[in-house]
Amino acid sequence: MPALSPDLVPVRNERLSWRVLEGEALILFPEAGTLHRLNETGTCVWQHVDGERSVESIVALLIDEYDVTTDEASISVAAFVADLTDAGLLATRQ
Amino acid sequence: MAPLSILEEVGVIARSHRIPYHVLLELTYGCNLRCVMCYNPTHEAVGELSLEEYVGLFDELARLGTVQLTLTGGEVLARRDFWDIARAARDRHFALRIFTNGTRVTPEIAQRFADLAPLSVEVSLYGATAATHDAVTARGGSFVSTLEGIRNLRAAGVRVVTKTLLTQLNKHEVDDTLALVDALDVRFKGFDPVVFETHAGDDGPLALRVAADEVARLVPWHLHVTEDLACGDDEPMCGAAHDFVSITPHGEVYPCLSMRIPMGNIRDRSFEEIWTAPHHEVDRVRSATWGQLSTCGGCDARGVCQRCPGLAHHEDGDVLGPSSTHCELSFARLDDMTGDPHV
Repeated sequence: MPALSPDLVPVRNERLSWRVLEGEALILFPEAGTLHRLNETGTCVWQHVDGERSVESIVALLIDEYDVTTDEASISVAAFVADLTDAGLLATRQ
Repeated sequence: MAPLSILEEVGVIARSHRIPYHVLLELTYGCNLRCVMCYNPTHEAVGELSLEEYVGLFDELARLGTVQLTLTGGEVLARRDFWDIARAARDRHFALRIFTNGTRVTPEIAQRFADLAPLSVEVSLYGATAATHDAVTARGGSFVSTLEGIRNLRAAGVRVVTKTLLTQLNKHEVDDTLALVDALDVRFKGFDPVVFETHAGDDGPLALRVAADEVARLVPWHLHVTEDLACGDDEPMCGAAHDFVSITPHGEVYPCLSMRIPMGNIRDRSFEEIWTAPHHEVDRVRSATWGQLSTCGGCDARGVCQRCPGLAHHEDGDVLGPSSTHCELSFARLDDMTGDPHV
């Protein structure tokens, strides 16, 4: 997986509907006809995506909240952003 | 056991934790049509919850885990602040399903619906011709404007769902209605043969019901508006007050649009208090499973029955008992399928 620039800012697709139920985010994408459910870590990252925080900031927050190394957190966030971008749930901007 | 889909899993979570996953909001009783079988008690837009009250409710529902809101009327566009309400809901990430009669949906209005990214916009078609549809709505020109509204929604990329309440006035246009739906390129939810009396207790609309045996002959089973049928013995008998609830324009909370058991008013206490407070009759609904229904649980027609606890409560006085209407419809369906009259 190509490295994700730490300066990139992930932005949620505004046309989604979502809610956190029992600690897991449920995301509906009506126009794509898809429904996604995130695990606990994914939900944590999703909630930190606010259109302002950079990948680097989100990695730092993940390290604060979970007992993980910088490398582990960076890999998790990069995979998360890539997967959700492919699914149309996220975009990134500089 | 087959793996549950995500949506089914979410349904299980919602029911087991009693999350009001889906809330239906009647935003207004105001409407520009006067459908002859409408259950709407007044057609008057008075005393409605304000935008501020809805915003407070949305914050509460979001906190409680509500995912889906259905916005209906009356006619939602009869509210001047409809777009403010809908936008406030979307800003809180609710998934919206919106009911409209379509008559006021210009290309600009259709684009505003599209901007809300709704799950769907549902429009009732009451027939395949202006003569029939307008006879039902009691408003000349409504058929033409409803079709125009549907076309505008489709052109704006909105997922449109249509449905048809089957009555004496449109029963002769079943095939033509299906052809029209095809031509409009919209999803058809089905024919619904259950006409209700008005919420004010007027049973006049019941005269428009089509007899059960005629329904069975006219409408193939797969073209009925259907809910989950294959309910296991341990499953709740329906979603009312489990993961679904409806709220009137005046703030009254009911387990369902068709289950008129008052739970409280959000103007008197918070929705959460109403939702979580003990309530003898609502708790009976919540605790009942299909296997516990003494009459319906072992019924031969259970596999084709659309049993509605709200109608059972209204018609026959017991949410856990049968509803006469659905008994007739189900046995007529069973007879039609087997060729044997039910004795």
